Amino acid sequence: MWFELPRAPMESIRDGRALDKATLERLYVKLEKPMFNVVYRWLWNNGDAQDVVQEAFLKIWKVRDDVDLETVEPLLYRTALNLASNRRRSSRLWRWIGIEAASDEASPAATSEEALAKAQTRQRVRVAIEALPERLREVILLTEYSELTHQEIGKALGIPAGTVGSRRNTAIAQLSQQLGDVEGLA
Amino acid sequence: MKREDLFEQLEPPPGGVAKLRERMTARPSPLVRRLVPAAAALAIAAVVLLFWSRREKAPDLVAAARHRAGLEQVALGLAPAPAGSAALTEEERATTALAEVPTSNSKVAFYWVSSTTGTE
Repeated sequence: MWFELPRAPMESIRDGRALDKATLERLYVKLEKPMFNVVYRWLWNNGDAQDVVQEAFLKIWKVRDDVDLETVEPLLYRTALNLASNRRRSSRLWRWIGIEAASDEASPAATSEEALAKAQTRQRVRVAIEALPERLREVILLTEYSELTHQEIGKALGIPAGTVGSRRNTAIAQLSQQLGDVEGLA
Repeated sequence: MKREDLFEQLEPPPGGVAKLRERMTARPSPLVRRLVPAAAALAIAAVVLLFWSRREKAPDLVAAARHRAGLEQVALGLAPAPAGSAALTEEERATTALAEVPTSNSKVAFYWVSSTTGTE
């Protein structure tokens, strides 16, 4: 005697581990802000940073069948960093040949002493972060803004977890050299 | 400087999720849809042109005739006249007559050569 069993949906086969639209949106809500903050320090432009973060999600969505949910967060950060790096390079090239206007966002005109001081601090921070080599910048930004462990950051960047720690220390030393002592940064 | 100043938490522009949803379902723009077939056609044309320009060419009969350079070709002006001039030795001068025949082509030189031996 034959009994036909109802076919289980893919989600239940994978025990809820499939990357479906709802899961991707949940991930976006969770990671939008930290990823935006990381990518912003590459491009220094709100619109570009948001666009790159979304592009990273769209790329992952296209290959969703091959994505392991356990490692999707480091993968998203890696993808976003690659995209930001590429966009930064092409933007520099266009600017060099005079096609694209400088995309840096103009700081709002400071109306008070406090606002002026804040704008100056932001400018100093930007100069200091820009001065970091890419390999140090990506480590310090990921350790500060993402919730990834050193192990996960190492996986995302293709380096051992120990190297993540040492690069972070080097980055902090270089930033302190430029900006003086930073309170609360060990 | 404080840590919060160095690693300030910025807020992304609003409406991110909605934009993402829109981009996930968006079809390519009409311009892109029109450009893709045009680009494909252009690529095919380029390949065909490249193939055509690299194909083996048919033999050039005129060039081949020039290369052989027989008397007929010289007469027809297809090949240059041989370098050097016609000259007779002292002995030949007694029995041979040599005269240059003018031609309309400066590259062609005809000589009229006649032996007087058998006529005596």
